[in-house]
Amino acid sequence: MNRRWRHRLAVAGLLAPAVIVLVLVFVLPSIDLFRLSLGWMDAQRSIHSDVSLSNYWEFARNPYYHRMVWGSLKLTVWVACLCLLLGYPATHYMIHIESAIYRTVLYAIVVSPLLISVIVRTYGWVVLLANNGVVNGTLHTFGLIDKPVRMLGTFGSVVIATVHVLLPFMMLPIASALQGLDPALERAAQSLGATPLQTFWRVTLPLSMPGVLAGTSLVIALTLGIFITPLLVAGPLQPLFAIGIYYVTLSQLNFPLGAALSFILLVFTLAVIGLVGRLLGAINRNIA
Amino acid sequence: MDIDVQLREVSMQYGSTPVLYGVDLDVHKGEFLSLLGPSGCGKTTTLNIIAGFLTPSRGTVGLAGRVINDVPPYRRNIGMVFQSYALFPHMNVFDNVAFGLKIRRLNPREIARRVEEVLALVQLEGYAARPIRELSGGQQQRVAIARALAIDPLVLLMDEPLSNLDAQLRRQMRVELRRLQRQVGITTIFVTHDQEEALTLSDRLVVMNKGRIEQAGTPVELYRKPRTPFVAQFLGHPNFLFGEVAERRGAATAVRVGGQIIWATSDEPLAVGAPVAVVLRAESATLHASPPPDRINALACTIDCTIYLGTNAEYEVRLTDGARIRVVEQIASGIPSHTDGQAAAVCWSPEDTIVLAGSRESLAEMGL
Repeated sequence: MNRRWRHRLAVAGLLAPAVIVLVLVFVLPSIDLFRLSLGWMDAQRSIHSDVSLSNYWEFARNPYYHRMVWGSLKLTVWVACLCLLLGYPATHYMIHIESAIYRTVLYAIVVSPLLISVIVRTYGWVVLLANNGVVNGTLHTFGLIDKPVRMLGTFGSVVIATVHVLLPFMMLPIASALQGLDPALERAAQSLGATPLQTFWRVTLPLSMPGVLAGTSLVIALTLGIFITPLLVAGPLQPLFAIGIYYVTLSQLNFPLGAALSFILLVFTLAVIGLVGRLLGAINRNIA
Repeated sequence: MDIDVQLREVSMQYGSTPVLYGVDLDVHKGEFLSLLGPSGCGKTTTLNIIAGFLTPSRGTVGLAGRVINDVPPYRRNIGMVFQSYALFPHMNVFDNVAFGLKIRRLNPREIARRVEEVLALVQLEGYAARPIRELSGGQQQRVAIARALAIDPLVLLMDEPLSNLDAQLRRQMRVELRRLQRQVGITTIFVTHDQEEALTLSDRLVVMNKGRIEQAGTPVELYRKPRTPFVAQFLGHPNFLFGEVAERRGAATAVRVGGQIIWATSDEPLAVGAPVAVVLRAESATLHASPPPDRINALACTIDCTIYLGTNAEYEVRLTDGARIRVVEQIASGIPSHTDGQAAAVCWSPEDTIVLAGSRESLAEMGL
């Protein structure tokens, strides 16, 4: 066996476990899902597996699904922007802390949402935001309101709870990008006359773009498909993609339509991430 | 002479750890000054204080006659070359060099002209469009220098700029740095732990140790007349012999070393009986098969070991009291004139011998 073949074999060996797992748990089910989505359900709720595009036609025609897409998009934009605006400055601050203990404590706080079950965390928000919850109770005690402000079930409450859940996914990639920067780069910019703000815009931010990109993509992918958190905070009527799929599949038991919607969500998510990647890449080149 | 950079009583501590103790330093206009010392001696801290990245705990920093303690680094107009070069990886050569000029909002034509000028200075014409990652270490070094010079700074600071280059390139860049500095005439402060770099480059050098300046002077002054054993050791690793002052006649000083008398010169105020270290450079001593009768300093010895280096031979000899001395002999013939195990005499002139206060114990304490 010559060297080139040995090299190829080694590459194949290294890739094989990941490829096998991915094929078994993602690619094959996706194909299955797509096949299922081509079937249809008649008025007697029996499912036919002959090929038709009726589910996709239903999605294109019915305004209910358009509202759902719009709702998910709106939520994604809000969550991604808030995560970036809240996460970047906090991460930047955290990276520059000299005390190792203080830094570790802050890291632990950042990661802490990941350590608690989504359900518990979300019920925490329910307790806080309910009509007789902590926030309304406090406002009432201080005489700021007469009757409770409705927060639970609103779009705003979904945004807040989702940002809380997903913030670490924005901060950790940014932290790793910022940590990888040579501290001399910022000093070099300052020695050349750049104020701290100019240094940030021209050097730190462009060079941390890979982290911003990774974080934003993660948050977008997770928000487009988010399910438990909005369901618990805002109920099953909130016009969101994943909740719609849940409703169609488990309440109407229309598996083919649910499969079609799932497949559309998958393609849609990939498309949005691709778009965001190109957009941020272009911004990055312009700053440089 | 005009003074460009002036440190007065500058002290620095990180938390409760002091790293600089009352440093006084004058850097003259246009001179090339090196801060030399082992790692942790405070030389980089001193440089960062001048650049403005660190604020001294006490003392004042002056630049061109103005106290600049409260001036942030981006208003000091000081160029800096970093050990890692710190080139902006997302910009090409042109944008790196133009960075400071764009910040100063010069017009694009002026920027292009200036970038071309400094790139020519560091012999990188035609490299403007290259991305940084495509440059070799030596070329990155030149871009870093060009970028610092482009803003026409008052002072150029360099933090161990040659330490990431291989030995041959380092020698080449050394010559080039010197040429460049002379040509531009810019006041330069150069931090290094490499004595050879400091000796070859500097108009003046400052040896630092444990947060203090040990001695400042021209390379020849420091090499010929070190004032402390530390400076003597750091510049050239000489031989040390320990004894006490036996007699003084002006500068001529007799030192008793292991029962023998050595004559040396010293300007230091040393009393008779004081413990001293005799500094003898390996290059100043000569070996003779038998002691010449007219020599003042001639000690009997045995040759322990010969290291043959072609044009030089380095001998390690043992004196009668057991002390070891290194002697370097120039051998034009290429044949060493002594062999191992041979008895010989090691001789040197009192003018080439320095006497400094210090005992074997006090030097050992300093880690020498």
